[in-house]
Amino acid sequence: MRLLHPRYGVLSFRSYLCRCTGYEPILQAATHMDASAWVPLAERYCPAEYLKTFSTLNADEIIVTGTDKKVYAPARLQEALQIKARHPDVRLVSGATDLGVVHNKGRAFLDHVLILNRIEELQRLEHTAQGLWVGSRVSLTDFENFTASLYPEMSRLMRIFASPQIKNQGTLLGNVLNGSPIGDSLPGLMVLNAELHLQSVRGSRVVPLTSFYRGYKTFDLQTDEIATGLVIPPLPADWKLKLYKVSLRKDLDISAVTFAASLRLHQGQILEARIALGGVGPTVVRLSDIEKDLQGQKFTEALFVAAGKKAAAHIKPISDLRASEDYRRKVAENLFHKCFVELNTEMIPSSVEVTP
Amino acid sequence: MSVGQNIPHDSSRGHVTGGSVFVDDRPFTQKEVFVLPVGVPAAAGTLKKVDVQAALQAAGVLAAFTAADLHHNCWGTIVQEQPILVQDRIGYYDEPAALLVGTSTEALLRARPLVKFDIEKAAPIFSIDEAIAQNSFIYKAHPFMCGNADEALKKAPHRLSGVFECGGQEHFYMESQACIAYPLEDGQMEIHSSSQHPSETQHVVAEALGLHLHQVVCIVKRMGGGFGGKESQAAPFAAMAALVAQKMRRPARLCLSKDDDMVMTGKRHPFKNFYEVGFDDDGKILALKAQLYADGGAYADLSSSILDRAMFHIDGAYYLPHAHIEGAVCRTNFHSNTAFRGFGGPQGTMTIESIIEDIAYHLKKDAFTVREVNCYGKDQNNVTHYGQHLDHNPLPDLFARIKQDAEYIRRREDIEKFNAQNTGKVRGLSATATKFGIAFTARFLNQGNALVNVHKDGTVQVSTGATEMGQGVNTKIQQIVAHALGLPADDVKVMATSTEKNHNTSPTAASSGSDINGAAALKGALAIQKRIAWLFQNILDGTPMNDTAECPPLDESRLNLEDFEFAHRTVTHKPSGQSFPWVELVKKAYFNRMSLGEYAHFKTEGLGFDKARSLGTPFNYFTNGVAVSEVELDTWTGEYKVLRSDILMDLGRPINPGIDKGQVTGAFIQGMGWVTTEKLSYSKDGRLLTHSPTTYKIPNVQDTPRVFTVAFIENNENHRNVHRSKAVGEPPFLLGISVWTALKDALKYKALSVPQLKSPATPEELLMELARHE
Repeated sequence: MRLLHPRYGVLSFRSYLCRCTGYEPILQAATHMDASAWVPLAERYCPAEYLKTFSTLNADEIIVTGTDKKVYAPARLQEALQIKARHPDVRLVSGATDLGVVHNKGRAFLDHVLILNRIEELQRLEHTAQGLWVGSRVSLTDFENFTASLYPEMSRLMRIFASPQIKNQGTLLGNVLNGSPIGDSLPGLMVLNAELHLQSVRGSRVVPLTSFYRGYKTFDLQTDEIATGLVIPPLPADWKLKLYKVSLRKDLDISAVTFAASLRLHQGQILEARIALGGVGPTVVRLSDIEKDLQGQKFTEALFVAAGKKAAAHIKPISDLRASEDYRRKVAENLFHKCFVELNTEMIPSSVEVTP
Repeated sequence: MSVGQNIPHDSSRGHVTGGSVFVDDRPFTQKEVFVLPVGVPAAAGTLKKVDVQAALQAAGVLAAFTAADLHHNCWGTIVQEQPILVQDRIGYYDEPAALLVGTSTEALLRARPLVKFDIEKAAPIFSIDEAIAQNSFIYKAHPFMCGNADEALKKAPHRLSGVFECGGQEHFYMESQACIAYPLEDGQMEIHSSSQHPSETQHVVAEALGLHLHQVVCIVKRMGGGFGGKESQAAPFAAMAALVAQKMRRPARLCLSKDDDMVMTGKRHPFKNFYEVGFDDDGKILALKAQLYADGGAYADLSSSILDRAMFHIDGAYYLPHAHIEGAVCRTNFHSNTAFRGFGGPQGTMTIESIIEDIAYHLKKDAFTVREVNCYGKDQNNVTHYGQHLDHNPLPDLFARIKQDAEYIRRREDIEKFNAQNTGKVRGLSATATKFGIAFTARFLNQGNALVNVHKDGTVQVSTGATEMGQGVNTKIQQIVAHALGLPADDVKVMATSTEKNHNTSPTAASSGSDINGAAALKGALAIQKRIAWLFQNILDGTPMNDTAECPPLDESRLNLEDFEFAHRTVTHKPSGQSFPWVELVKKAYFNRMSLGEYAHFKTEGLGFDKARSLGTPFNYFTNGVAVSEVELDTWTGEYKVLRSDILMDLGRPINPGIDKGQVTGAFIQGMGWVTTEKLSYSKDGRLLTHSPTTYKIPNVQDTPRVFTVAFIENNENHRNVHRSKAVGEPPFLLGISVWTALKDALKYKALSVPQLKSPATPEELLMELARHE
């Protein structure tokens, strides 16, 4: 008899909503069953001989044509690029964690789609000379696990990003290319100076994430281009990273405001600063004015309180169903203060000056 | 014996394995069609014309129907005033106005945008304030007066006045409104509905289609959650499906998507309550004057009864020596608000709990002591503001024990220290109580009937008017009947609820499902028990029972029922020690041509409330409980977590303590959701924006208290209910309020004046209040 740890139970049920039980009876049941009887789905449904058959079939391009419907599922990137060049309006489908919902609700009909899931070239997740390469098919879970030691703060944010099931299915690039001003990964990626790699039959190019977003869900992206991956430069040891996601509910919620700061500190001095905010305008933004204000200054509470006030005055958030303009401003302002206090607490013993 | 035991819910295995059948799991039948209601894109005005021509041309669309196709287009549980499909006057945005019928849901979703509405818009009413200003009311309650509130207020050493506001709440049952209508021969109609009220569904369908009641049968196997949302509002959707089935002579399936369900159906009533309270130096309330306003939405629905219950529960657990309570339901241009677990009770009780917190702040006292001072007494101060006496009042004991069990005093000290030492974080601690009146306040609803059939192998089928929505009423009835006949619970099956077996039933609501239907089933089972005992007595007496002689009719003088014990599938005559297997007596009864079935009717005795004087005994008894919650608030963002909640309840002698515990945890978390993250947002033109889990946030597992305990006190005194149990469905919902008062308590540590907090206390609501005190 092997029992599940209660904490594991809680984490496993993050993705479910229950309106009847208050979760307590479900957790009780989960933590009292014999987990040794459990057979993983992969063992149950994907024995080795199946996988072998799948891998031989995997080399073939698949096209399914129905009445007024067409699905392309290429096995190679080149095929995908050619399809995208011929059919610029085709919908790209990868994790489908967003499109799937819209489709189920009958708000978008996926009649003409290009599925990227079978392209192995897009699965790469590895260190390169330029930094961490995250292929466009890399799942949020794989990214979270891979970055646990590299960017622990990023990995921590990924824990409340979404449920395990969604993170297994959804991709980091999906979050980037969905391009929402409240995309949870974006402020962090922006202060890490991530770069997006785009490819088409015409060739390839690299776009810094900070210049990719041109307006609300409009991008520096041609109709024949497919994003193949993202490069995240390494963060040297003298840099600090802080990421916040503020939402109505802690888990399984879409943010009202997101915040990212990366600071290069040396003996109580801010050598370099990068700050990004999400949910305060049509795109996630880097606050270059405030970055300049912080650079070269002493790392003090007063500096951050002032920076927060300036940021709040500078941004133009809207009121919508998630939060009001006033709340977004106030949170943006306060997160600067919170960022200071938390970093300051982490840096012990501290040589920095704290104003009362 | 079965009663009092923790047998599993009769559907638990089915729910886990997928074996349980819900309406939309029913297999497709030949020629079956799908029905999609289409809502109007305006909140107020007149619908001039619905143009379905373009939609009818779309692939897979077979037909479309509008108001003109209904025989009778008006329904309402209390007042008939709501159209099934918009006739001319528009009540709210997305109110169903047309039905599209097709061969698949996808075809209907593609065609939906092609339905065009010609609308003459009018000025809508989108708030309680606007409704008051425009004198737009659905109902004004008769005031509740006790003592002389004005006089007592004048004399009170302290007075506070203010306004308490709470928002609505989406039921968020996992199974949306769902119905399949099967046209039968001779114009009859069989309805399978996800309904808490099959009788009303039957009635509304019959009336809408121009049928007599005996031509319509409504069957409810189970619901995937109801919470009140399917008490009245399942019926119009059943009528829509039935209309299609009648017109097309094909089975018609109408199962709403979550989004459509949320925009089309009513929610918990938002309230705005104005009050003035007078109290002494100890915080003892001397008088309360309150004016309650409920947002009823566009139509009456159950709003008047809901407001009444809010007024009944504005005392919470606290004695009001002088009170003057008035109430009105506003008519606005929102979905018609409806029953939701607590039925106005939470909105009333939360008002007084908020007032208590304010009194404590004003007097610089711990709110727990203010609650102790005001708590209803055992021997005195135990009559409510509507004149009902509290029998065996356990509230003082509940407060005393939770104070110990939850280590209230030590934790208060810890919190004081924590809050003094931390920046960016502040903690709060608070207790609240529930004293929930059990009975429908409309007396005629407090009746039920049951059919108990014993089969020749000794197994039993029971049917009642109760509907199973996950709350476990079937399991409790199964236990009650098994217990009475001395059978293991597995020998008893509770059948699908059907109006052809149990008619003129009341909704499964007001927490009374097990009380009323369990009592009726018990009555039926006991009648059969008596018959079997009589047969046994005749065996003992040597009465000839053979091809020429049968068991004679019952002669009470010859039967001492107490002599017979029904246990372990065996009936024993205790004085003689003789026994027979149950099944043998059942077979013998059959061959003696004795009835092995019983139809029983039950009504709750002792209820009476004089509406004109607002005085009397509206409730059979009260279910009581207390909870203590502790929260930690992030003062930079307004985000918070619940560190610990302890619940202590008086549930009498539970029929199934495990099921009751599940009801308590479920209700508490649902109540907590109402007062924290569950915020309904509307666009400027009145469209609900939070219509799916993407935007409407019910608590998830991470939101539950980090430490969460539930305990019951022992109480054997509730002789007014079946097996001395107490109803459990709604009462613990009110304990979720303790999370809100704990947040309010946390604010007190940063406040410069009485903290102002609306419900739900979203992070935004909390942060903006904190900002006010900076």
